[in-house]
Amino acid sequence: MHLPDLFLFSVDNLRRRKGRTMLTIIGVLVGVCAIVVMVSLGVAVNNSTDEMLKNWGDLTRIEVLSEGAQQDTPKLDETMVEQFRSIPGVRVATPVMEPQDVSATIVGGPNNRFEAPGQLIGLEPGAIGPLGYALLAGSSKLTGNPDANRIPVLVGAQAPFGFRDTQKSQNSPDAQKYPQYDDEYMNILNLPRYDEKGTLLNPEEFFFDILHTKLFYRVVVGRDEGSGEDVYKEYELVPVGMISGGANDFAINNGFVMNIENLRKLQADVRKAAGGSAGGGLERGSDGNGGGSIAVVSSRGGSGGGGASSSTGGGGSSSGRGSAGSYSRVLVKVEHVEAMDEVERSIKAEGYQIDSITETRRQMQGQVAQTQMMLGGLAAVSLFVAALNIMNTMTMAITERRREIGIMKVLGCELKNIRRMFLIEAGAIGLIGGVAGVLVSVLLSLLLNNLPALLALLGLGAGGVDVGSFFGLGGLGQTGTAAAISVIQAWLIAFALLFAAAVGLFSGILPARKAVRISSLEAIRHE
Amino acid sequence: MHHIIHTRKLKKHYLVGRERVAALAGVDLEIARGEVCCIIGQSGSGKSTLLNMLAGLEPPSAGHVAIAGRKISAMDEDQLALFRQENLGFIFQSYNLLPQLTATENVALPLSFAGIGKTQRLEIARRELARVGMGKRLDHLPREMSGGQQQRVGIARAFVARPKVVFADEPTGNLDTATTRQVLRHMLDCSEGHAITLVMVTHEPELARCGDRIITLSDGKVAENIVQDEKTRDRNRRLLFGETDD
Ligand SMILES: Nc1ncnc2c1ncn2[C@@H]1O[C@H](COP(=O)(O)OP(=O)(O)OP(=O)(O)O)[C@@H](O)[C@H]1O
Ligand SMILES: [Mg+2]
Repeated sequence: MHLPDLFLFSVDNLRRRKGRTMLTIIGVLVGVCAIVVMVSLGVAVNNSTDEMLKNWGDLTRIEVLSEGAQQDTPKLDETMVEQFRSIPGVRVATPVMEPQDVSATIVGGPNNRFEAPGQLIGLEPGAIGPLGYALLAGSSKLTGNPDANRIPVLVGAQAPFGFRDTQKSQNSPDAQKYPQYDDEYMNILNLPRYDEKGTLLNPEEFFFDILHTKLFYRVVVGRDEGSGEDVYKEYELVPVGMISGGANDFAINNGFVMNIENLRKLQADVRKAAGGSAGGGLERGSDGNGGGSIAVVSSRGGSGGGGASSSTGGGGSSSGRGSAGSYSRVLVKVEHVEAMDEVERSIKAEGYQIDSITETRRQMQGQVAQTQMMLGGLAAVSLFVAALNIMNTMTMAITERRREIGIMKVLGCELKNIRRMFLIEAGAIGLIGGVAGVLVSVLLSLLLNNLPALLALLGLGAGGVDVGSFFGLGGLGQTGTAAAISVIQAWLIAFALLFAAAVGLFSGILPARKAVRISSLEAIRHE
Repeated sequence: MHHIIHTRKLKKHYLVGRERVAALAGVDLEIARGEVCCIIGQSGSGKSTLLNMLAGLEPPSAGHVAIAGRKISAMDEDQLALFRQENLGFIFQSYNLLPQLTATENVALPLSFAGIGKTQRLEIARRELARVGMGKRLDHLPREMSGGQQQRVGIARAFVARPKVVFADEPTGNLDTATTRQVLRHMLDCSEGHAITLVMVTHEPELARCGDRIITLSDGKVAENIVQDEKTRDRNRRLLFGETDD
């Protein structure tokens, strides 16, 4: 028997029982629809997290943290950094030194009138290029420093907003120039812009052109017993360029990056100066952090407060968890995204906590997958019910057609063809239900994606739908007002159709077997 | 070798409760190629049982059946289906046309099982229907036809694939006398025209007398096995169909 004949026969039989066929198809429709919509929501959330993470920055950067490491984890020191460098796939690894020195400020402008709580960051100069920070102006060369008191630095793009005018009252609105954000609170609109010649194009946004102004790192090294005044020591910082660490690297964007060697020397010098100043005038850090770096309590109350600072407030120093030579953070740059998993695994195996966008992404996707699994389970249940439905419909059809099947057997219809007839019939129910389910899903998806517009049209106000929170990822909705809520891709449609047809076929197996077993004597039996 | 149907010690019993009912108690038969063989006997004598066994619809309890040299009592379901497709036709007492198919489609059904293409098989079916005088009812559904017309479609369906043997179990059992004659006439014509062996169960002796061989069953055994010569047979036919010698 030819396939088209079998097909015609099956379709004919389906048409004979329109009502029942329709109901069964609707069952499949609901199941397929549930699965497709569920997956499409998940795809959309993953897409928008990916979109968001892309803005966050580099997918191949790993931050190794000493904090939160396991008990017996070795110190995060130079030896360990060296070990990270030897992991296959690692391009560079550099410790990050960030003195959390509350008594230090960065000053600049006429008479050093402007003051910022600027954070110094020490990196290995060779790592700055590979780490992929965007150079917005100048050069990134931090090497060559003949004079210990003139230290080249790279200025973070948002650092200019940290400066305060000391000649204005602290509460004055003019005391600081503020960044302006776009509507979605994602991007700063008035970052400094330089042309190729190094000219600042938007000087009106700032107190001064930070790349062409002398800056000083001013640190309190003691107190004059007589006058009660602080004793400062100043180091000149020479801005050589401006960098951006991407949307999410707060420290780099607001910091002053220098060669880690220079930062070490500077710290040593400050320590020496503090030690050499009037005895007793300098109070050592009272936070119990006896680390190798200095922590000086300033008598000038709160001068640096309120501004941008990446200070964690807890530890007095970043360059040690209580012991010299160990770092709080190490940055590792990996060659390719593909190598990320392997490198991250190796570092985690040492016992360290890590922070990377890939890791974040993995966690977010894990969360989405988990929710999807749960909802997918519900969808699967509805599809399972649809399968039972098909089985029931087919069994009924076969019971009703016992005589017909008997006649066909007497007339020489081979068993395999009888089996095929009913498998095709069941498969067709599945496939038709699948097609209908996909169509309905596409409509639903269109509806969901245009929900804010539709709501607005109905005068219900534009209340965006936050699918992210639905998947346990709060805040995504905020970023993705324009993004699709449901994304149905070609593969999903193909999969849904195949799956529905397969469910139909599968549900047809038992009924078809039953049909094959019907005796040809059914044809003879008198009714 | 000229015996197209051949049985040896064919037995069939059914278990009814704990009791063994012997429907066939050892039947030995030879039916020649092209013969019209009529089986008569009282109700419950085992006629239908014998026919079903000859057609391979039911396995015998003992003994064996061979048709056209093939031992069908040893075949499995798959082989039997194929064998029926290639060698056997069947006419039912209650016509058994598929209700959703037209006359032509019903007749074409065995051809579709044999894998013959649609246009070709519909063409063959139409020709076959014309032969049994149904040329004007090609597209009628079974419910739109009388019993006699349905049975003529049934005859066309049984002969359309040119089988070696056609079985008929009381094919006129539901028809009045006039229609019975008409239907029987078509069966005999088809059988004769293509030299197809016809094995027919009937209650009516005057119908049975139209055959070449008349087998009488009694209690599951062959009580009588008469072969008529052509003259007697043709005279009987003329008597039945009310025709004069020509
Ligand atoms: N499926 C069955 N189960 C039990 N007994 C059966 C079965 N089929 C037939 N019989 C018995 O076998 C015997 C022969 O039945 P069969 O149908 O062959 O008779 P028949 O000659 O065709 O009768 P009729 O002229 O009434 O059709 C009967 O006694 C009947 O009761
Ligand atoms: Mg009978």
